[in-house]
Amino acid sequence: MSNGNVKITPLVLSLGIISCVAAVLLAWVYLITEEPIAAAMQQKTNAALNEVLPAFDNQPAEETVIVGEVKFYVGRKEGQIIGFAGETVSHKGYGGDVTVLAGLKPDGTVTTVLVTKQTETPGLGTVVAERKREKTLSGLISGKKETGLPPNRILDQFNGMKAEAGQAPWAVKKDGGTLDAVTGATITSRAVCGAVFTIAETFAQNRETLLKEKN
Amino acid sequence: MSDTEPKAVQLPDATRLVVSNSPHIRGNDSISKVMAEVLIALLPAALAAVWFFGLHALRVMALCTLGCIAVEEIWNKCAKRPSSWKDGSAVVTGLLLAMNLSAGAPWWICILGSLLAIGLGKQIFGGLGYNPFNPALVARVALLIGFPQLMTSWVAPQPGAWTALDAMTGATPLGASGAAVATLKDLFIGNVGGCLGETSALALLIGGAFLIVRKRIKWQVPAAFIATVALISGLVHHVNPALTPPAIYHVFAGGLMIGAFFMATDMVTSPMTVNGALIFGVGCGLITSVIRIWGGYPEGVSFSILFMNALTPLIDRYTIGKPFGYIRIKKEAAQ
Amino acid sequence: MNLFKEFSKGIFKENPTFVLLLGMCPTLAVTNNAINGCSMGLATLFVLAGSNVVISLIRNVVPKKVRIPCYIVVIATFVTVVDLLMQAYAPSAIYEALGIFIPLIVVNCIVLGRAEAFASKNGILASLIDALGMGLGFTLSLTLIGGLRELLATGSLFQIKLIEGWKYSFMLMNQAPGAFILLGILLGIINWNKLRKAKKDGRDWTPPGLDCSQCNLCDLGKR
Repeated sequence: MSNGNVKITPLVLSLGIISCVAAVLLAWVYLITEEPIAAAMQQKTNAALNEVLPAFDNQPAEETVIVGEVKFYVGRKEGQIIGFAGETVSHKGYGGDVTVLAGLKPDGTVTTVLVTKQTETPGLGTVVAERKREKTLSGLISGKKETGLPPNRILDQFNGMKAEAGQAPWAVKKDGGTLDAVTGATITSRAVCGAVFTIAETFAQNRETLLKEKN
Repeated sequence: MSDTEPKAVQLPDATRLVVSNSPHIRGNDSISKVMAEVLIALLPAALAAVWFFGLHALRVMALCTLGCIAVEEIWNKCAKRPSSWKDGSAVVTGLLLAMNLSAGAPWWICILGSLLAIGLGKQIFGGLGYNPFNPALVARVALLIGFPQLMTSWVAPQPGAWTALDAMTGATPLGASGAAVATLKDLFIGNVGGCLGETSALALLIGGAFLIVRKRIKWQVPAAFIATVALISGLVHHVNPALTPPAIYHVFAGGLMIGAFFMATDMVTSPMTVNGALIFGVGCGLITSVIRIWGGYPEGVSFSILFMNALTPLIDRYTIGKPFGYIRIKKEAAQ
Repeated sequence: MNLFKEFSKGIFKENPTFVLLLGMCPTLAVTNNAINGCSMGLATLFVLAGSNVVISLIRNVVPKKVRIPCYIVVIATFVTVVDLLMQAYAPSAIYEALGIFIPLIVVNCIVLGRAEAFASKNGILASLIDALGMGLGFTLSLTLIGGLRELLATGSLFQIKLIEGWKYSFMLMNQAPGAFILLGILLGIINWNKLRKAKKDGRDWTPPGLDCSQCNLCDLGKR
């Protein structure tokens, strides 16, 4: 390209001015949205913990204890420990790692199980992991609102279970255990089952130290 | 090429010709004759399926075959084209589709499968001969991705029992613990859960041998396909036995046999030349092994054949022989 | 200039998705249900309207040699604004589902295409109307594809189950292959309809880039 008869100044100037205006506009929008975005992020990290822990008033996301493979979030109300949320990653999923979050009462009973991250086969492994509520037409007309966590046949069977330190692992029926698995997704079911057991068992082993956690 | 032709010779419009090796001799084969022989070749596998899964297998086969014929005829009516079910290709597609379903498949899966096979797999591209992909496999893959739970829950084989239907939640013998699921003899004869056509390697081998003897299929495709799978799975098993069962399980379990002999060799969708057939088979085997060992689905035969179907025109283009009487000009000489 | 014509051409005659075949990436990637398709379309509509107006404003000031970089800066600014706003105020499920495709609006051919082909040559009002028409056409197309995919996959629309108790879902339509198959079928139907109309009016028309005389799908292409 010949630069001989093209003046470069107006080109630079116009592009520069447009960029400056754009930068100012972006800075303004950024300032406006900074707070709502932070709130939305906070809500997102707390959303899963809200599901598995009883109503808490501390910041469990900032109060964590890592024991072995499990990360425990401590839930408190008025300073008292009201529950734990254990999070662990199973490497035995079919399509990769499966991250499981389980709520525990202070005595070690499992209250709720969630799969927070997975890359399983859609329609097979995901059946194990997903909690989905479907709105129906009649439900919409009658105006009834269902609240709470949508049920999941596999994840809900852990509710109320409790592990003793050093006990034999929980297992799905195919491995001689008692727990149901999704047909065609035995491996994912197995991975979730193993992860929940790891959380419960790790908790049972370290219950005393965990309960002594100071605020 | 037209530059080298004498001016007086008027070449026919090349876009309207099917290019293949010359010289050409017009055989007295018709589509229906070829299809009849494919049906004969499928007979042992069909009989084995009925023996192991009883009348339910018959029901699935009948539904799929009739479904495919019906879709073909309805489509022909709508597109104002002459009726074509009598050429037998719809019957073969229907039977192959049934071979890819479980004996416990509900009726609507069979009908939807027929619609997908004939509609999406064949007619939407313009009918027999124009379809780039094997129609039965298009339906199988669409159903497998569409209804993974239904398509991977098998029925337990019950030899000789005509009406019993036992759902079975067996893991595939292709899992790492393959040996625990089925013995080798059961796998070979077909006494395992699976699709109708996945079970009996013996029956499929008989049918495949018949097709090869009758020269309906190129033996290079199944040979290269199976050899590649055996080689790769054998190597991987040798290095890390925990990852995958021995090669022999990979060969006899799952859809490899029916895929290699009946699906990959489809005349319309596989390469025309011998070298092309070898490349096609090796490619199928490579992709199958990769999906089986490292992929997200337990079975990769159908995916691999569809993938190679897509490459068939390319393979043909690079392996096509020189026309009779032509001398292939070397690259250096041409420049 | 007929403003209504400028508006409606984006929806029917020059529909970006079904006629111009622009913006295929979001069309195929985020239309797994009607809500996602609709929100993606609306986000694009906002960017399109903003960039078209601004580009029309500066069209006489910007030197020709740097016009494309300038347009890109304008478009990228609006995309970032949309991204920040959605992050702050849209439901997190929608923001997560659209994910990377919001920032990718910046490379959507419709946006730069309208800037170069229309806004750089027309007044502010006409450019705004053009952007609204095109954006609405894009939104409607994405909602249509998303809705059809959702309906075929799970029997629901806008995440409301229409057939109660239908427990199977046809996962194929939820996933990428379903988008390709459905878009192909829709384009086929649209081309067929146009061909049929052209034939009826005695006009000679073939779908762009296709040769109907080679196809056996219907008998319209036969001469």
